[in-house]
Amino acid sequence: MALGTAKISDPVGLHLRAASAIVKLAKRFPCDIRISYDGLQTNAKSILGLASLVARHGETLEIHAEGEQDEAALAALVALIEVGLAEDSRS
Amino acid sequence: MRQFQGIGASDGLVIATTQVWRKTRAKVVGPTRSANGPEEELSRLDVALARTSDDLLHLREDLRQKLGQDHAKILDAQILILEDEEFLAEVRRLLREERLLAESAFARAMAQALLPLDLSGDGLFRERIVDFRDVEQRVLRNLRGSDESIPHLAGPRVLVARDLTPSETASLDVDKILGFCLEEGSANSHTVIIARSLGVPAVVSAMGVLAGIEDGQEIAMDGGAGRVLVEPDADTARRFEARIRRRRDVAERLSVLRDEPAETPDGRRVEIAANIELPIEIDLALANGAEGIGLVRTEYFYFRSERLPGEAEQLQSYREVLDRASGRTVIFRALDVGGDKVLTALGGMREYNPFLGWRGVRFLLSNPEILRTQLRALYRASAHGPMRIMFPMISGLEELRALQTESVFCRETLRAEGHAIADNVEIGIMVETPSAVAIADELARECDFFSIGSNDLTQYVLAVDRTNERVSYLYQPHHPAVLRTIRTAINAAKAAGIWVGICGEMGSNPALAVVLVGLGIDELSTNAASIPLIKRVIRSIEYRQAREWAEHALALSTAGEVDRYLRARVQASLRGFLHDDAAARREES
Repeated sequence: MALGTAKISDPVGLHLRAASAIVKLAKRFPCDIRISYDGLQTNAKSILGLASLVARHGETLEIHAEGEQDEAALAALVALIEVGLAEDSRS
Repeated sequence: MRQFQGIGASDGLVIATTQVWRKTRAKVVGPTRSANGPEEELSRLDVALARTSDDLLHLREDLRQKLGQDHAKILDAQILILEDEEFLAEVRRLLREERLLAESAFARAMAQALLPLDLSGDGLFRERIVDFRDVEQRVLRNLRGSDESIPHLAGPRVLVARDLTPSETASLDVDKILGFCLEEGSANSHTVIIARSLGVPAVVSAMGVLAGIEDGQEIAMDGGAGRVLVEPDADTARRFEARIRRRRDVAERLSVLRDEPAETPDGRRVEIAANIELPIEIDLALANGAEGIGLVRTEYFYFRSERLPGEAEQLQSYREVLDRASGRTVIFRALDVGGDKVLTALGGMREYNPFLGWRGVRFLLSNPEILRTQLRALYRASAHGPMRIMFPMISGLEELRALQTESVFCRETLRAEGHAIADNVEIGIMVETPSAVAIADELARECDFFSIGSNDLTQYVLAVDRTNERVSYLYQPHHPAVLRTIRTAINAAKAAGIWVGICGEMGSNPALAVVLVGLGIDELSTNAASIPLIKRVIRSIEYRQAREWAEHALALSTAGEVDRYLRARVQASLRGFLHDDAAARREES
């Protein structure tokens, strides 16, 4: 089990484009990944779930990965959410 | 002056008043509970989801090709929604436990998922609901089909709409339509094909036009460049009108050739034919001077309805084609699915290499019922006008022999049943695989004609997928490898005494058309719009000269050399007939 947090770097928050990037990355890992925010929890592989968190720029997400490759999945998602999303939105 | 950039799908320039059609959205009405039970609803849902996913993948591929990867990404989120297992599990639960209709279950699950976004005061998030609604609309439309009818045009207008189904386009008043400007749609949609056949411009995937253009506004639209200018200022409008006049002038000077043959000054005659998909396209082809129809893509007759068309229905379609061609020879290509045109309903599935996969005659030979139904309909149609049949994607002699056997079987069965059939229905093949060229001499002995499918042949010879933007620069029809391959095919046909034509885009390129004539091609089948120019170039260059140029071009080593060599020579003979719009377009932007 791997547990961590990530601060949303994307200037417009967890909108569809950012959520798509997270889902695509999460789907590359076999483990179960949950993301919690503000008392809500969702599957990181569900785009509707992520969007319904309505998480904004600068807010902190809790990531909870469990199963095969959970450490790697956590590290990759933290990197994406903290750094990658901001870069992606500039490109 | 607002501007929109979309995909240029049908060439042409127009300045006109708009009519904006905002279709009201598909809504779930009537009973919400299923009368059929959950199993039926689950399968309806699956079919609609698969169809929607297909639509989106096509649309994304189209956007990627035409506008680049960045634009295509817009659709990624929508595709992910269709793959969202959590969400779909909820839809399925509603189907099973609440016994809802697929429409109601989908809409309800979506409403639940969107509630938090709806409630959030954040404008940016609420805006994103649009994307979710869009997917919902697509799925609902695929579940039930929209039946809202298209409005009558108030006068000559450019129609601005989200997208048009084939039936909506078909019910339009063609005398009043001056162009299509679509928020969605793809370059291969039927609306576009109809626009081309009517000779009116069409721009598709023009994001924002539905919200940004008001009914009755004036727009200037460039259907080649995909540009839409709303309420153009006086200067822009003047320049635009000048371009329209220039084009009209060129077209008028070319139109005098309509009834003239494509014959070189020293007497070599080539048949000029047109490629079509819809029967109505024949009218424009003939108006432009086509002497025959060199390719009827029969896929349209299959894709336009939900189920496979039967023999009687196909017969009627093929008769309509022959009637419109009024005595000119028509070449029907047997159903060519697979590759980029997957018929999911027929067991097609995604393949890693669709262009090397289950397509063309490979598909037909493994579906003998479909093949026989089409052959029977075609043979029965043969009593109504001169026609030939050709088979796509032949890669070996066994395929040709199996198809010949099927053809004879269908023909003789029909005769035994007492149907009238023409005596001389020729059977030919599309030459589009390198293997077919390598054994062209063998194939030529056992069929009546060759039609070179230069688009696919170029891709296969050069091992280049032209829809892959990283390698598409290598797609070069003037590559010596392609031209020499084509020469081999033409020579094999000549040696066997059968005629050989071409039905790819190569034939509409004036420089390459000259080379093909020089190599001894008997027929050039092109899109209708190119016919006058191709006639003009053939009538202005001596066969002796064309042979010399072809020989020289094929001896060159690179595509660049071929291009430079030909361009200088052919352009000189076409001076004043090529409207170079590139400069004008740059000025406007």
